[in-house]
Amino acid sequence: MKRKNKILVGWLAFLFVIFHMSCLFIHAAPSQIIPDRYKEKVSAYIDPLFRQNWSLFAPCPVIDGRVKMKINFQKDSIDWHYPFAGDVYWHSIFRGSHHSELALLESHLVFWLGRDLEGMQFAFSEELTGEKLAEFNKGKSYVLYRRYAVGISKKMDKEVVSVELACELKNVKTDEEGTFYLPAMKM
Amino acid sequence: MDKIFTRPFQDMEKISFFRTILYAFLLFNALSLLPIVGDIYAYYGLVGTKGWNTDVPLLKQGTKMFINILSHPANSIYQWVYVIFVVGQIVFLILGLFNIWPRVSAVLIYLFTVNLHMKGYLAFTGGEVLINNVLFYLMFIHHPRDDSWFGDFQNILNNTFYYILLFQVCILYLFSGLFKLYDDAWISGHAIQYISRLSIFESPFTAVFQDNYLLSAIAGYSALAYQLLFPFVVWVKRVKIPFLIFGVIFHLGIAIGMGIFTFGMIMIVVYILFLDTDQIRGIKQRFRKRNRSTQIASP
Repeated sequence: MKRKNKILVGWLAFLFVIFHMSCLFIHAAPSQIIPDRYKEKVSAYIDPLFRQNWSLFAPCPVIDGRVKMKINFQKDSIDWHYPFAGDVYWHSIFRGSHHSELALLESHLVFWLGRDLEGMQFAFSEELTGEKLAEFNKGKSYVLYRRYAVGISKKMDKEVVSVELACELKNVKTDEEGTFYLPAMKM
Repeated sequence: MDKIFTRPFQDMEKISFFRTILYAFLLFNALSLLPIVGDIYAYYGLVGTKGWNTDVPLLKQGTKMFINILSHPANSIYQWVYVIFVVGQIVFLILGLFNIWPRVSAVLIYLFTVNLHMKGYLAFTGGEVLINNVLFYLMFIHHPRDDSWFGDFQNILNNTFYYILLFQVCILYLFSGLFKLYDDAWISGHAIQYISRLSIFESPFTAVFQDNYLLSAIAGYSALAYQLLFPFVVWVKRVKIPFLIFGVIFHLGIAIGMGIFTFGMIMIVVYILFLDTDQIRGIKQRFRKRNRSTQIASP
């Protein structure tokens, strides 16, 4: 490469690094530092290749819980059970095994449910009807539990009529406890 | 300023070593997930899909169509497609490890891995997000073939994406620390106490923090200080090594103690990028010596 061209490409590389780093900085910074209106401006460049969120453990997760499930078939059912119990157990013994991912999956389901309930100001044991139910069904956690229920129903070797999901929750900060029953999901 | 990017790339040995360790870890990770690939990667797996907007034509989906392939509705008919990605990832990781077709391997490892990570997102953590980004940048860093214009261009690419790699890790730490400054639990020193009470993170290691505010506060503030200081201290030669050793212990705590294995380990792997070439050679020599002594010991 000719020296002149090399210098030109070198400057372009420098400008690209500045541009890329600035976009990443704006995108990944907390909204308190860089308002969302600026983040939207860089999203066309960032999304989806460089999308990232480093709010790791912030806010601090305080909702513990475990998912339980009942599967209804035409004539019989699999009664309430904890589908992730085995994975959580093996995850506590063998770090780095596939059980860790499934245990994390359960913890993410619990996290998003806790976040929705907090955002909608519902109590852990609240029975949802009418408007509250409609509001809950629009939340992120309902979508995630629904996808999980579909996945479970596809794994069964006979036709599933509905999947019932519940989550035993405990706030480790306030000690509030309760079981939240999601609306039964027809398959 | 242009000279920083046009000068001969000096860190190829470091990048080659980093790439080898990263691929080896990814291979281990991919093999360990084999028993549950259907659950996390199949179209009707337990995590569902990220969704695909069928109203937007394929060509207008932009780069998303390349990294969200497993969420395309066609996967509901061709339910075996995810298997190609799983096998492809493993095959090209092995080829990449042996430096066979390094450029092609780097691109395909990225494509297979990012699609799998996008699909199984609900079972994953920030570790997988970092892997996606690092693999993207690594696609552009390779040995310059010759002194032609392409060699010069490759050299500029190497310098460019090497700096971006380093910056990416610094951004991760800086913002991870800053986000915590806006949370009462971290500021009050209770965060580690609360986290250790969550059953997913339960272990003999985390048990010591559950009811001990003092230990929780020390661990919490140490983590906070480490994350906020990382982008600045990691460049100071004198304190870099002890600082990174603290980081290794910190991330081993996350990987083994808390059980967020992939994230903890990948963070340790990226520390290679902050070592000097001499330090990399030292580590390699130690590996070789250990291998040699093992070979001599075994009859």
